[in-house]
Amino acid sequence: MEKTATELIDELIIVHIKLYHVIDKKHEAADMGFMEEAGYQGIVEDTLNGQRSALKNALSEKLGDEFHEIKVGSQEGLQR
Amino acid sequence: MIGVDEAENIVRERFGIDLSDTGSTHLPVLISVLSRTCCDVLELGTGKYSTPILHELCEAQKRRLFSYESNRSYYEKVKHFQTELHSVEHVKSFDQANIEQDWGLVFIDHAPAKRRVVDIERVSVYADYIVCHDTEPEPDYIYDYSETFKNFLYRWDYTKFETHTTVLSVRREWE
Repeated sequence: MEKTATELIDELIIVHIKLYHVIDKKHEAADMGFMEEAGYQGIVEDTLNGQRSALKNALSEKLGDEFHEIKVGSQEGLQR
Repeated sequence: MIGVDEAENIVRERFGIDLSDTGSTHLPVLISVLSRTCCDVLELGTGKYSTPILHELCEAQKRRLFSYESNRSYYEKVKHFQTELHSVEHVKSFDQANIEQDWGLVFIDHAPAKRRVVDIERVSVYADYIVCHDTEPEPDYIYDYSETFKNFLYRWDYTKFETHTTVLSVRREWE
């Protein structure tokens, strides 16, 4: 089933939070000289960035130039 | 309009965030205030939860978001949020942040601690609502919030968690 705009926004937020965590771990590993670990975190970061781009594109297609009200519960749809 | 209780559910159920994490306790208030306002948003001090959530919700609403960060390491983790609508800027001092303009929401969560009240005063007449984090009484000697808070006509404290959040306004009552 096609995802709603609200579901896409929720997923994007979750991916962003994971990305923050991964970038944090990558920097920490690099600062401590653990370059292999930093490299691994960099790969995870790339994967998450890919997910982020896909979600962004899907959301952009769905919303276009529309304003999206912050939705709660089962409410859905675009409103101005 | 989203109430704070509803916003708590959104944070827990939809974003999967544990509200017992000190760094997340402001989120229900931020989401609720965001839903009550309609113009630009200012974030002083970035965070692993506040920046992503403000970013996506402001993008969806086509609202401009300005994030300022003085800590280089924190900035590195959020600089990728930069878009046409979201300005993410590293500043050596918050004096460099041009914040004297109208805001729907201002979020105060930056360092150094004593700087917070300086910037609250700078935006006080420009903001519909100012949301301040870490406002429980115990660390008031660190932030000096209490004296500044007396200058606001409207104040509401969110005390459900150990780390408190306060909403201030000289313009709009908290309903």
